[in-house]
Formats: sequence, C-alpha cells, structure tokens
Amino acid sequence: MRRLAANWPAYLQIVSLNAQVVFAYRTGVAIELTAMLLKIFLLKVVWTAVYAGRGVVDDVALREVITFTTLANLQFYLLFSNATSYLYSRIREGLIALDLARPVPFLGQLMAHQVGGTAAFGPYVLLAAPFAFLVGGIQPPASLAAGGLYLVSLLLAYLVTTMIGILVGLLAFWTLEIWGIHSIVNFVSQFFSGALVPLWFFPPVMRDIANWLPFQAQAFLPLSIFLGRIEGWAVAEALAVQLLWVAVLGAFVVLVWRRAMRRVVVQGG
Amino acid sequence: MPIIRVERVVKEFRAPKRQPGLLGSLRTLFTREEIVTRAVDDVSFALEEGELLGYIGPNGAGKSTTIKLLTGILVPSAGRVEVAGIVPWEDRAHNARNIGVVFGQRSQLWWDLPLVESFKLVAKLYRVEPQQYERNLGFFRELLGLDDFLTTPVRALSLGQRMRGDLAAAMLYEPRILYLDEPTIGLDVLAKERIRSFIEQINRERKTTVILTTHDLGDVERLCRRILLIDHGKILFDGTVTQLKAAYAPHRTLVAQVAPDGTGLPAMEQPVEIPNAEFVRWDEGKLWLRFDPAHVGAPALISELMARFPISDLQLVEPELELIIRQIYVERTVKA
Repeated sequence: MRRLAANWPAYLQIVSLNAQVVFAYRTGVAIELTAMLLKIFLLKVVWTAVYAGRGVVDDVALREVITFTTLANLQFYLLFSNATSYLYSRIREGLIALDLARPVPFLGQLMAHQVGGTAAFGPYVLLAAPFAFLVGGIQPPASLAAGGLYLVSLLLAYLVTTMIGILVGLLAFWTLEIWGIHSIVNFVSQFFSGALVPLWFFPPVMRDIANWLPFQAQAFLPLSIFLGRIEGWAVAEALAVQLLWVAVLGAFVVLVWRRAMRRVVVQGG
Repeated sequence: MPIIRVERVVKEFRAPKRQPGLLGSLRTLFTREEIVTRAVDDVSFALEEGELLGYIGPNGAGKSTTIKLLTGILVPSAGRVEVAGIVPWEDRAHNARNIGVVFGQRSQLWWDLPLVESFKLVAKLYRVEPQQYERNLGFFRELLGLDDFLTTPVRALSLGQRMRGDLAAAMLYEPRILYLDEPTIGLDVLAKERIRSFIEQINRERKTTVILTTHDLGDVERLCRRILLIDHGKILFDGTVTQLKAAYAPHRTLVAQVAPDGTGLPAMEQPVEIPNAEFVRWDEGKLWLRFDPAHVGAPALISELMARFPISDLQLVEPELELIIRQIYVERTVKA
C-alpha cells in the first residue's frame, strides 16, 4: 500500500500520457464512434422487426431489448481493454526488458495504461451517449437506486474485462501468436456476456453455461440492474458474483504473471 | 570497493530439442529431451566506480545476457552478481534506480508524443525532484542539443535524435551506472561523434560508470581504456586496449619512402635484411618492414635504415583494433 502511494504520481503520469495518445488519434476515435452509432441503429431496426408489432416477447418488452443492446454497445467502448495489444507489443518487441528495469511494478504500469485509455475514451463515449439515446430510443434506469447500483456494477464489469484482457495478453510470453485466441475470447465473451443477444432469450442449457462463465459480469449483470430486471437481494447477489470474478481473475492474473516472470528470468523469454 | 562485481557467473538456457520435419515437430511435443546452451560460462569481472568498459564480442557471444543479469531481468544459473551493493534480481526495483539502460535497437520513448513527455514520465517513475529535473534537463538540452526537437513527436525524429533522447531519458535521474547496448548502431559519422562525446563527458564529469556494448570498434578506441572480450560465453581478454594489442598483435609496421637516386628504383628493390625486422615488400619505392617493439626500438630501426638508404618519408603503422578483433574471432571459430 505504501508502495502504491509512492508510485501514484508515476501511474497518474502514465494515465495522462495515454490520454494524450488517444487524443492524438481523435479522428480515428470519432470514426469508431460513428460506426458504433450505426450499429446501435441497425440493432434497433432488427429487434423491432423481430418483435413484429408485438410489445412483449418471452416476458421482455421491445423497449427493454433496445435499451439493453444500446447500452451494451456504449459500454463495450467504455470497457474496452487495450491491455492485450499493449502487452503483446511490449513482449514481441522486447521492450518488456525496459519496463522491467523500472522501479515501478509492471502490473501497476499496465493498469495505468488501461485506465489512461479509458479516461481518454470516456468523454467521447459520453459525447456519443445522447445520440445513442436518440438513435436507439432507450428508457431511463428503473429507479435512482438502480442507476447508482448500475454504476457500481459497471465498475466491476470494467475490472473483469481488464483482467480477461491482461490474461490474453500474458499468453504472448509463451506463444507469439495470440490473435487467434484473442478473437475467440472476444467472440465468446461478447456472446456469453449477452451483448449480442440478451441472455433472457438463451435456451436453458446455454443460460446455465453463461451463469458459470465470467462474461455475464461484463454486460448482462450491470444491464439487468439498470433495467430493474433484478431487484433487492438479487442485485446484491449479482454484485457479489461480479466481485467474486474480479477476485478470481485478479488472483489468476497475479499467478500467470509470476509464472511468466519465472519463465523470463530463468529462460530469458 | 568495486561498484559491479560478477563472480563465476553461469547462465544456461534450456529449450526442448527440436527434431527436423513435420513428424519431428510432433515428436518434439512428446519428448522431454532438452538442449542446454551456456550463454554465459564462468564469467568473472569487477568494475570500479567511474570506469568506462568496452564490452565486445561477436553476435551471440553472451553480451546481452550479461547485461540482463546486471539489470536483474535474468537470474544466473550459478555464481554471484552485485551492482552497487545490490543483488539485481533480488531487488529489481531498488537496482533500477542505480542504473540507466539504453538499447540502440529499442527505445523507451513514447512513439506518438513529444519527446519531452517521455522525460516527464521518467521523472515521475524515478521520483526526480522538480529542481533536479530542471537542472538535468537543462544540462542535457545543451549537451545533446535537444532544443530543436524537444516538442517533436518521437515518431518524427531521426535515428540520431531519437538516440540522443533515449540517452537523456536514461540519465535524467542520475543513475550511477549506465548500460549502453550498441548506442551508435546505424548512425552517421556526426551523430556517432555526438553520442560518443556525450558518453565521454558524463563519464568524466559525473563519474558515471559505463558498460558499453558495441560492434563499432571506433566507439571502443575513442572511449574505452579497458575492454572485455567475450565469445561463446567465456571471457577471452580483460585489460586495456594497449595490452590487447601487445598480446595479440605485437608487431608494428614501418613504411619508409626511399628517395629516388640517379640509378633508378627497380635495381634497388631487392629484399632487405635488417636485424630484428622482417622484410615485407617493396611497393612503389616504399619499403615495408615489420618489427616487434619488444625486440627492437623504432628509433634504432630507423637509424639503421637511414644509414642504408636515402629516406624521404617515414610512417609507423599501429595495428588496427578491428583487425586484431577479427583475427581473434576467426581463430576462436576455427578452434570451436
């Protein structure tokens, strides 16, 4: 803890530099967000067609589905983890040797990179949010409490997403080709987080699988809280599940990192 | 007390033995046969504070492995390493404050941002006080001429400018030791000289201990008093450049321009016998002799020559370091 306090200025500086890098590429960011708005619009069109005039399917209202998918997309940009590509390039280019010769722990540097990217991306997402609301036509949170708890849940979702991103990136210590695995993980996580199709519509077996995977913590749980689909104890339970995944994945990151370090110091990478 | 102490260090790498071909690569998956390579093999040396060591050897000789052992990125298989009283891999964070590292082929600078932003980060990473930061930055701005490109994004810098930036970044927190891995690689003559004089100056004025890994023997001749020659993980030579020359290439060459006399040159171009000197050749009126300074002094040889020939010009040729090193590499390779 004392070390964290001492290294704080360094982490803040990394956050700020990352924000500057994202700003340097602001045109690219603007294009990406435009694509996101288009995606939100298309999802609305498709879901409206699926519902074909019926207001409620499987006990889920059209407006809820649209709110869900719109927010899931907005969230995706906010939660996006650059840790994978950062780790990959540092390891591949051998720059990790420089990172390790720093007085500040590397996992801390990595987290600062991640937070910096998010901090720079955040304002753009907030800027795009009103348009997304207009394009998608979404409903407000079920209640003020639901809105607040959603933000807490979103933070946990952020941590889960970051941990998964770091784990995939750490694979680069063992294999130089991580993009195959990366895209598989991306797809599986998008699918089982419910970001493509909300988990309500999953057949029971797949729903069970989703319940045992960490990915529902990335989108489905926070959005269920937002929509008021779960209330009271169920919310506490959802947050506990998320927290559990943060702890499990966090421990896993530390474990894999130690193994990677042992490999580096013993094998020379 | 030495600031760097390396004692009988061995570093072995293990890799699964690979069989050739497709079937072979399948077999590789299932056998536990391993190939052990000794990158560093029983290496010992010590460095006093303020020394400037040239660490040379062919590709794959074990130079980078040694540097990684010193920075604490690698743990030795046997032996002991101490840098400024710290065992590097046991306390990497602490060791990091004492050392600066510059790789000619890799940069610690932030590609997309103005150079000065990377400096600010280094200041925070190493907790450099604002005053110290300003003072050092001012010093390096002048010494390395950084002013022209301090606010230029690193991706737009020339290789020479980038190297100057990397050197400043590594020295901002005033480390006691600087590891330089091929800092002049790919640079033009002027840029090289700029880097060299910077290294010379910080070594002289700040008493920074420098280990310089390079393939450019110009760097070594210009900067290093002491050199360490390594090949196949073993130290071949540890001493001064003069000692190396004396040990591996004791001969000097004397080239004498013989003034043309009335009789014409060709008749004169006969092999010459002079005690303690070896006749090499005649070449357009120049007489080439090789001699060992341990057996005969140059003045004695010259007066002997002057007694026999009308000499109009004289040249004493030192053996080139590059030739010596090349010769050592070749001999080692043949022996191995």
